[in-house]
Amino acid sequence: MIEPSDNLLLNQSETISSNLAEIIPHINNLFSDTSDLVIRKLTIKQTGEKAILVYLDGLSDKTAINRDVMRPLQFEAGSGEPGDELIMTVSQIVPVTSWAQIEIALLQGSSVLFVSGRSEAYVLDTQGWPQRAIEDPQLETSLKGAHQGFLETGGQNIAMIRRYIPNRELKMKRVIVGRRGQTVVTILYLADVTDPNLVSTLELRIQKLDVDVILNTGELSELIEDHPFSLFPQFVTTERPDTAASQIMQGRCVVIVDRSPSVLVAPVTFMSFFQNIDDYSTRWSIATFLRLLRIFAFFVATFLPAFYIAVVSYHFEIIPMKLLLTLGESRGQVPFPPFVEAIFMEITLEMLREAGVRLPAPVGQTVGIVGGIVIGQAIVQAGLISNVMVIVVAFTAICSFILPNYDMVAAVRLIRFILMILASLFGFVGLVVGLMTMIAHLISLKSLGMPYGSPLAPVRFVDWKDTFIRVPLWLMKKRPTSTKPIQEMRQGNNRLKEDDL
Amino acid sequence: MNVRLLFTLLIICISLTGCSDEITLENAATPLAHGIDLDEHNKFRFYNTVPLFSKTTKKKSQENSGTAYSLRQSKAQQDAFSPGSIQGRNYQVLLIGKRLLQYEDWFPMLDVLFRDARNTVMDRVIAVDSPLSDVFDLNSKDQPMLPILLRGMVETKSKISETYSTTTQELHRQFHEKGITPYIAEVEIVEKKIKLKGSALLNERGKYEVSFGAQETVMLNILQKKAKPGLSLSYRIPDKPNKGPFATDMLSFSAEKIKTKVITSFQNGRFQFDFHIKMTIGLSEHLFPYDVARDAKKLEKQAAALMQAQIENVIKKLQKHQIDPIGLGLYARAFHYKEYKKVKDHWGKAVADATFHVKVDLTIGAMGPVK
Repeated sequence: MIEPSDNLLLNQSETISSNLAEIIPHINNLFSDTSDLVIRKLTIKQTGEKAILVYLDGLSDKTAINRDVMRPLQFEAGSGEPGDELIMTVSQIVPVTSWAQIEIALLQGSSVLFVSGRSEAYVLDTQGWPQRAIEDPQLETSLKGAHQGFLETGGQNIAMIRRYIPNRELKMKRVIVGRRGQTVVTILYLADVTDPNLVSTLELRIQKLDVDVILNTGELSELIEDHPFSLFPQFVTTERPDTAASQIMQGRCVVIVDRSPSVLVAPVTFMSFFQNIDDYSTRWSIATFLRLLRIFAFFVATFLPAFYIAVVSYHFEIIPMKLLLTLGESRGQVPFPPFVEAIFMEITLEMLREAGVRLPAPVGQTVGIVGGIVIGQAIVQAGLISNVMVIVVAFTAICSFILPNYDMVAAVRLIRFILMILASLFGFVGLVVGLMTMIAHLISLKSLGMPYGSPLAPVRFVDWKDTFIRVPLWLMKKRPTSTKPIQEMRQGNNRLKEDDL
Repeated sequence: MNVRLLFTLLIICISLTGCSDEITLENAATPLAHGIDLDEHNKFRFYNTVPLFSKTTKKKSQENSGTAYSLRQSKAQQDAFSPGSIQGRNYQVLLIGKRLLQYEDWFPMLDVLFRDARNTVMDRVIAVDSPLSDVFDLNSKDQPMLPILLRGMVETKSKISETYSTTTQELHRQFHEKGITPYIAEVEIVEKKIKLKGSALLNERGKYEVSFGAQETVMLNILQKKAKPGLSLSYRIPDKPNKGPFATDMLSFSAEKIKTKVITSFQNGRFQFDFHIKMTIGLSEHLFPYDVARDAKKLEKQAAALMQAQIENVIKKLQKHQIDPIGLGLYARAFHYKEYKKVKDHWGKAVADATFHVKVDLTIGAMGPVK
């Protein structure tokens, strides 16, 4: 448990006084050393009452405050009775009485109006924090899909999903997480499709959280996943509204974390990480080809360097003769054992990649040149690394770039190193043991209580329609069974028979 | 805490057991060709050629040889010449000298290849009709590396049935199978170059018996049902005129479909094998004018008769040497086990006694795009 600080010890039930002279010091006391707090005194023309308007500069929309609050209050004349409903043109006015509510409202960008003589304050919906425009998603670019990515505002993100699913069965569960952060976390699901157990499990896990703040979806995902020590990601995070909508339609839950531009999808299977929204908008044969390519790339990216080490240090009898000659020649001048050579190159690759991610674009180019020319070419000419190793590393890198999910790529990177160590110690035996352990681990994993290995283990042939191959859309009449949806059918006959035409 | 300690110990133990048999490619010496022969004093002699993984040396391989009692016993001696440790995992060809093949029962000398499972058994066995030392000394700069040359030679030619690509594993089978006698590829040195001779046939104890040239090997392949489309045959048609210095009576064709039927029977105390060979052929050259479109039947008959004569000749040679590379023993054992059982220990003699009938039917399927 976190020790609550003094601020949090505030008496939740303490109500506001009706005397403005008491209110102002109270606010100043609450928000001491808060230079962006604005307290505006005014007289309401309509009733003649004294009032103060309090808001945080920058978090509130000033135009709205000026136009919809200050102006009507100061210029509109009404019936004139004190205690009347005030004339304001803001969309939402919530009367509150406790200081705790007022504090939260202020911190979230609303402005609060205290009126002399009234024992309630009004929370006015004037939120307007800094926001960027909707842009193309950065991590998951798509060729044919929409070019809208999620934003940092939860409400906007919900709206973007709603645009895809205008259906009243799209329900939401709202949980506030974080003592300090008060992060609004919303679970979206289709009430007549999604298994209610999933929703309640997810909600329970989020409710149980006791943290300071959740800044990003990744934090939430790490806090609520089933196997925190596993290398594999157990939830998909996406920054694409269309992907999120498609997942909801498949009976999954989507968790939107306010202030984070990516949303979390649960439960997912291992094969979800090989799917991409473009798979469904390209022709099915192409989509199938790409899917198989990704699965192949997964194995190459995981095993190739380890395989190289095993072959060169233990099992060179399997190398074809002509390759043996070239490989031997290039290995012959390398002063390091194969494992050191491979680890060195792989770590260089990881460093280049990390450098490329963090550096601003103009400097990023330099990294490419340094990596490509200095490391790639010079290192071979200097005889430090064999050129076959450079090819192996390059091929591995390309294969890991094909995988559409960043989290899975990260997992693959780590597993690769483990396998390399195993291969250097035991050759193929180590490699096979590594593979078996990996598979055993994969099929024992769960995502939100649902088997992670589905539809491969447990075998669910119905779901294979969207696993290794992507069958034509009109054949996928059922939702994936891995999420145990209540409503299984998702479409009827979509191909007209010849006599129907 | 105990679990954690156990886990750590386990990882340490596992890691310590590793690496024991690690030998990296560049630390190993991987001979690509090895050979066995007898020297002039009839002492067992080994040969090998090891590729050198170095950019500074001009010659890309190192040839070693020495006198020894056996292959494994010679390992120290082989190692002594080499920068790395000799590993028999990448042999491409196994060369056997003719001098050694003059003796029977040499096969156990290869025991280490089978008993030490690290050694490959996929290397091709080739008989050499020249001193083996000459072959290994030949590994010169202006020719492809010896193992590449020999392996390629045997692989490509065995595809068109002109030699055999017998692996060590297959040789092992041929030695231990009583119904068949071993057959391997054969090369010789002509004018300091290696030349493919065809095939060498051994008796059941490994002694060299007879060599077949390219076309005879093709016939043997047909009898073995091993011939594949693509093989090519040439004959001189007897009634065609010969003008000047040119053999204008030449006919060449390639096989498109080959079907060999073997009927086994046992009559009058001897085995009888009836071969019926049906081939569809495509003409690839005839130097004499001939209207194939109109008169194909006659040419088919003539060529079939020549082929039949050659096959009968091949069989006669086999009978004379009392060997059975065709594997007739397998047929005999399958169809007439009782009779076979009586003669299985001297099967070669039974083959020599057997009667053979050969019938060849050729059908011209293609005459080429010119008239």
